[in-house]
Amino acid sequence: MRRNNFWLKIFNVRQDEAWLVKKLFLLQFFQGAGIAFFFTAAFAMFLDKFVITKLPWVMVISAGLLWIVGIAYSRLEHRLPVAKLSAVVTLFMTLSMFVFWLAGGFIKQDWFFYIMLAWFNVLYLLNNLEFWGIAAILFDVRQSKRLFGVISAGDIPSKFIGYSVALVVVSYTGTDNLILAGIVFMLGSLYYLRHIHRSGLLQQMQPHQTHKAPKQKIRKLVESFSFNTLIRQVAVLSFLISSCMLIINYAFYSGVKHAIKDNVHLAQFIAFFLAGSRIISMIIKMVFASRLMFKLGIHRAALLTPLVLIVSVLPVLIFGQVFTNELKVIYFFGVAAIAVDALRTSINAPALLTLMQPLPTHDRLRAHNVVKGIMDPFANLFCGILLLVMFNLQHHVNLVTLSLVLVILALGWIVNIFYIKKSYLRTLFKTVGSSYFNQEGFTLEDEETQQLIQRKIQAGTEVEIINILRLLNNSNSKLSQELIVQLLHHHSDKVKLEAIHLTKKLKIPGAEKDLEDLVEQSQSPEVVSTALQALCGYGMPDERFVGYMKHPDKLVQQVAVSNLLKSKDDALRQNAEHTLEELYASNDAQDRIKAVAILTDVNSSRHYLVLNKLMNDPSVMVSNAAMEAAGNLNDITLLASLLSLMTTKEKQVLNSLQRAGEAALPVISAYVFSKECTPEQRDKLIVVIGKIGGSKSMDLLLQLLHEKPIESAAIIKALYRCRYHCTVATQKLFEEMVKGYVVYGVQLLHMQQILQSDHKKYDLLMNSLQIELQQIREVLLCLFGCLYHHESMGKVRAGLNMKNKEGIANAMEIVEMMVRKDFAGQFNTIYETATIDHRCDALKNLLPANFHLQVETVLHNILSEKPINYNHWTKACSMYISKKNFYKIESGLITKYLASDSKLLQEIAQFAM
Amino acid sequence: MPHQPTDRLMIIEKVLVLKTLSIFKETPENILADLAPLMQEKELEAGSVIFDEGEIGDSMYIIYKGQVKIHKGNTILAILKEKEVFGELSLLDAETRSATATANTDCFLYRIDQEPFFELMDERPEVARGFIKILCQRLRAMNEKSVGARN
Repeated sequence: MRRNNFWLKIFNVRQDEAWLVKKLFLLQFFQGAGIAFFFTAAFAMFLDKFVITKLPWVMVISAGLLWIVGIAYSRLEHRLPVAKLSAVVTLFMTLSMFVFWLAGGFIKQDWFFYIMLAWFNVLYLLNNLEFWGIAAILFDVRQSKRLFGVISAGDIPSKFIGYSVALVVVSYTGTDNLILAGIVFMLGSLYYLRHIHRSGLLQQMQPHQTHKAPKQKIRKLVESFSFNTLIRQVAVLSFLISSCMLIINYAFYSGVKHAIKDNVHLAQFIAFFLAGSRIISMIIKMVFASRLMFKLGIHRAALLTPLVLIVSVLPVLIFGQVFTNELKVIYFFGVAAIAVDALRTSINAPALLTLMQPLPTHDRLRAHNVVKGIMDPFANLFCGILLLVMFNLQHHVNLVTLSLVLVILALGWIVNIFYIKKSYLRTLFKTVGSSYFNQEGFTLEDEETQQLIQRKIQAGTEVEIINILRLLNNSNSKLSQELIVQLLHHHSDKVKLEAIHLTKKLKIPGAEKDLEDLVEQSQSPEVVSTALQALCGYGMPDERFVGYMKHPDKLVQQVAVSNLLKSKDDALRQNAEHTLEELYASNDAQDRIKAVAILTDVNSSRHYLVLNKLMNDPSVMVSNAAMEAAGNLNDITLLASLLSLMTTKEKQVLNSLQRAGEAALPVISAYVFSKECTPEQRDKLIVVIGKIGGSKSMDLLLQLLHEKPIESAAIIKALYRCRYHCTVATQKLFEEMVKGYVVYGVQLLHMQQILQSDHKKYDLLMNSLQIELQQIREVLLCLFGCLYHHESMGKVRAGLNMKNKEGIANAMEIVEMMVRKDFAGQFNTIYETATIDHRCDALKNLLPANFHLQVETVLHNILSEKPINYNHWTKACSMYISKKNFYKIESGLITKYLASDSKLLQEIAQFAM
Repeated sequence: MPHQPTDRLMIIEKVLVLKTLSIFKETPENILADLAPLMQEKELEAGSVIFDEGEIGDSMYIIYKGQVKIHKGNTILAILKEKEVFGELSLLDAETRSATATANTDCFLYRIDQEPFFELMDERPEVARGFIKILCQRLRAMNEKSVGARN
C-alpha cells in the first residue's frame, strides 16, 4: 500500500484516480506497441527498397489517407457513442494490420510499400483520436494538466518495448512478421478498453449532439475548423509541430539510409534509435512533464520544445559544411530528433491537449479531431511537396535549407504560443461565464435597425416598445430623440410614462408642447403628474401649477405643491406651505406620506425638522417613508438622526444610509468607531460602506482595516465590492492577509482531517467547518480581486459554485493564470476536489512542524475562536458534539455563551453545561 | 393521544430536520439556524384537519412524527410520512390549497409561516437563494421530462 502511494506521488496521481490512470496507461501501452511493430516493419521495408528522396511521396499519400480517415471518423463520431466508437476503431486498426501482413506475402509492387508506410500515419491518427477522445471526457482541465503526461506516457514504454523486441527478433522472424506481433498487442488493448467501458464512466457520453452528421465538404471542414479562435490557433500550432517533426525525421533518415544498406540492419537501427528516444521521452514525461507544466504553466512549458529545436539546428545553419558526412548527420540530427521528439511527446502534446480542456465536452472532442484530423494531413502534404520541390531544385538533401525551414517553423511555433495564451484565457472566461446583451453594441446608424424599430413602434407589444425606449436611452442622437417624442403619443400609458421619463432625462428640445398636450388630455393621473414634473424642467410658469393644487388626484396635487414651494413668488409659496402643513398634520397616514414626498422633492432645510419628526411617526409606513427621504436628501443632521434609530429600525436605517451614498460616510464613520456600535451593527455598516463605494468609502474601509483588524473578513469583502485595487502601499498588507487566510484554511482542513476519523460522529462539525472554509474562500477571492484582477475573480466564483467538476477546474485554471503562483497553488489545493488527506499532505509545509490536533483540541479551538471568528453555528455544533460524546471542555468556554445574544448559542450552552 | 416527542427539539436539532428536506438541502446549516426558530410545533390527533381545500395557504408543514393524508373529498391523493413536507410553495406564493390535509395518525408537525419567512429572506438572502436553487432544479427536471415526453 505504502509502495503504491510512493509511485502515485512520484507520478503526481491521486489515490482516487489511480485505477483509471492505470487502465488508460495500459490501453495506450498495448496500442502503442502494436503501432510500433507495424512502423518498424513498414519503415525498414520501405527504406530497404527505395531511396530517401522517395519519402516525401509517402507524406503526400499519407495526407490523402489521413484526410479520408479523418472524415470517416468524424462521421462515425456522430453516429456512435464514445464507448462503442473506441471499440470499433481498435478492431478496425487490428484488422487493417492483419490485411497488410497477409497482402505483404504476395504483393511486391512499389505502391504497396508506399501505402503501408503511409498507413502507419493512419494508425497513429486513429489511436490518437480514440485515446484522447476518451481521456478528454474522463478528466477536467486541472486533472489533464497533471495526468495527460502520465497516461499518454503509456505509448512510450510500449514503443520502447516494441522497438527493442523488434531489434532482437527481426533477425529471426524477418521484417514483415513484426506486424503479427503488432496485431497481438493491438488485440491485448481491447481487454483494457473493456475495463474502462465497464466502469460506466463513458456511458453517459452520447454521440455528438448534432441533428445529423455534417456533410464533409471542404467548406464545412473549414467552418468547423474556424468556429473557435483557440481551436484555430491550436490547429495551426499542431500543423507547425507536425511539419517540424516530419522535416527533422527526413533529415535524420536521409543520413541513416546512406549509412545502412540492408533491410534487417535498417530495422535494427530504427528500432534501436526509436527505443532510445522513447525511453528518454518516458522519463521526461512521467516524472517531469506534469511538474514542469505546473511550475512553468502550460504556455511557458510549451515554449521549451521550439527553443530546443532552434538551438539544435542553429549549428547546422552556422557551420553547414561540417555536416556533409553521413555519420555526423546521423548523430547530430539523431540527437536533435530525440530531444525535440522527447519534449514534443512529453510536454508539448499534453500541453496542447490540456489547452482544449476548458472547452465544453463536445467542442473539446471536436477540437481534438479538428487538430488531429485536419492538420496532420496538411502537414504531411506541405512537407511532402516542400521536400519534393527542394529535391528537384537542389538535386540532393540540403541540410542547411532544411535547417532554415525548421528555424522559420519554430519561430512561427513560438509566436503562435503567445496568441494561444490570450485565447486560452478568453475561452476560460467564456466557459465559466455567460454572455449577455451589451448595449454598447447598439447603434441606430444602419437603416435596417431603424426600419426594425419603426416596425416595432407601429406593431410591437408594450414590452417590446419599452425595451426599445430603454435602448434609445443610451443613444442620444437626433433620430432617437424624435422616436422618443413620437412615443409620447403612444396609446399605452406605460409607454408614455417611459417616454416622459426619457424626455425629462435627455431634456429633448421642443418637447414642451407634446408634454403640455399630455397634461391636458391624458386621463391617467400618473401620466399627468409625470408630464407636469417633466415640464418643470422646461421652465413652465409657476402660475400654471396653481390650477393643479386642488387637483382631485393626489399625485398631480403633489407635483403642483412641490413646484410652488420652490417658487420665487412669496404669495404662491406661502399658499403651497399652507397646503403642506395641512398634509403633514393630517390624521390620514397617506397625506403624511404625501407630505414626505413633497419635502423630498423640495429638499429645503426649513423642512428638515418636520421630516425628523416624521421619522418617528407612529405609522410604520410614514416613518419608513421619512427615513427613505432622509436617505435621499443627503443632509448630515438628518442622517445623524437617522443613524440614532439604528437599534430600533436597523433595516430601514441601513437602506437609507446606502441611498444617501457618500454623504452618509461621515456619520457612519463616527458611529462604527464609537463604543455604542455593536460588532453585528459594525458588520452591517461595513457592508453598507462597500455598497456605497467610491474613493471615500475605500479610505474609510482601509482605516477600519487598520483599526479593527478583527473585522477584516467583512472589510475585505466590502473593499472588493467597491472595486478597490491595491496600491504599492497596500499590496504587502493584502498579501500578508492572503497568507494568513490560506493558513487559516489549512488549519481548518487539518481539523476536518482529524474529524473524518469517525465521520458519522462528527459529520455535523465537519459540515460546519466546510461552511467556514467556503467563507475563507470568499475572502481569499476578494483579496485576489483587489490584488490582481477584479473581474476574473467574479468568474472564478461562478465557476466554483457550479456543481460540475469541469466548471470548478476551469475556475481554478483562471486563478492559476491571474494570481501569484504560490497563492494560486495553495488556494487551488485547499479547494480542489481531492481527498482531505491529500490536501493536508500537500499543504503541511504551511503549518509549524509541531502542529498536531486531536478532537478535543479542535473543539477547544473552535470555542476559543482560534484561528478565526467562527460562525455561531460552528460553535453550537462544537458544544453539541462535546456534550453528546462526553468530551471534557473547560467550563469557561461554554458558560460565556450563556449570555450570548444568539438564541442558538444560549440554548446549546445550557444543554452543554 | 398525539405523539409526544420525548424532548422538545433544540434549534440545532431543528436545523438537522430542515437539512434532511429536499427544499432546504442547498441552504447551508448556518443559515438554516436562523430559519429553525420560525418552526412552530403543532400536535394533532388522528383525523384532525390541518387545512381544507380552497383555504388560502400561507404556511408549509414538516411531518416530524406520524402520517398525513392529502385528499380531495374521499379520494386520497397521497399519504405523507415522517420527514416529508407539504405546502412548501405557500411559503413563497399564497394560493388556495388544492386539496385537504388531514392527520392520518397522531402527528407532530412543524409549521413555518410565510410572513416571518419573508422577513428572514429580507435579512438572509441565502435562504431565498437555497430555495430558488431547488425550485430551478425542479423546473429543469420538469422541462427535461416534458422535452423527453415530446421526443
